[in-house]
Amino acid sequence: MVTTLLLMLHGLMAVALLGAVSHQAASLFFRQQAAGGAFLKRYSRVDAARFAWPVVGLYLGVFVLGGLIYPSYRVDVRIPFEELGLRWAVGLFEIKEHAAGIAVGVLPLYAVLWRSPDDQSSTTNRRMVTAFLAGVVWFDFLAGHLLNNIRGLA
Amino acid sequence: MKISWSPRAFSVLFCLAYIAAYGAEKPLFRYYPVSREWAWGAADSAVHVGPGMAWYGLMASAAVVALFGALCVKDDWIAARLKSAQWIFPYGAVAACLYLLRAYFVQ
Repeated sequence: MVTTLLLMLHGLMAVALLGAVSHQAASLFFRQQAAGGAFLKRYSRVDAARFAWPVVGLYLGVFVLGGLIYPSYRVDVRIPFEELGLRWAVGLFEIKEHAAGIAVGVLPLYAVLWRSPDDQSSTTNRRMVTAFLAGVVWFDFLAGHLLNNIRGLA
Repeated sequence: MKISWSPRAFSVLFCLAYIAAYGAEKPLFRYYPVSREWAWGAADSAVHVGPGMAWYGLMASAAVVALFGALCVKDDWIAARLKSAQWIFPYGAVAACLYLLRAYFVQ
């Protein structure tokens, strides 16, 4: 029961994180390109710098909750995956966990790059690191959703 | 006394150390969820019940290296050297992970 509650909280926080980091990435990449009253223009017309600390906080929250429910996955989900011969599913989770781990280590760089959002010399790094974080969050969200659909935590 | 550290060095070293620890199978510790036991290193002579988990230990290995490096290096120094190449390290680390995990996807 506790694991299910933690998993739901993990998923809900991941949705909030997904929204925040997607808005921020869209603002970096599409703000100037989108024309007229297009949805993309309205979606990307946000102050991207204001999303930085919420993204860090939400990422850490999602990460800690994921770390807490990880032992349940290892025992209750991964072993059945292996018994069913679903090596790709095990591999998908491995990618998810390693990407999440690397991304948490990248948070200090992400935070320092967003400390001075007007610093033109850091534009490439800021864009690419934000895109990396957004990519990891999207991949981990979709992979987690897919794996939970195959076999959820008890 | 104010302790200064380099966030850039931390992240760069974390990426490098994580891949090194994962590739060399050097987690700082392992966790056995069935018996709720912890054990140092990648392996020991003790018999443990159930599967072991190395991921927490890999994170710890990378964090220790990254923290030590971040305390030794000035942020301005590494920013000046890496310039616009700071973003390469996380992408490289994930690419290396994908390579190391290829066995799950190929026969």
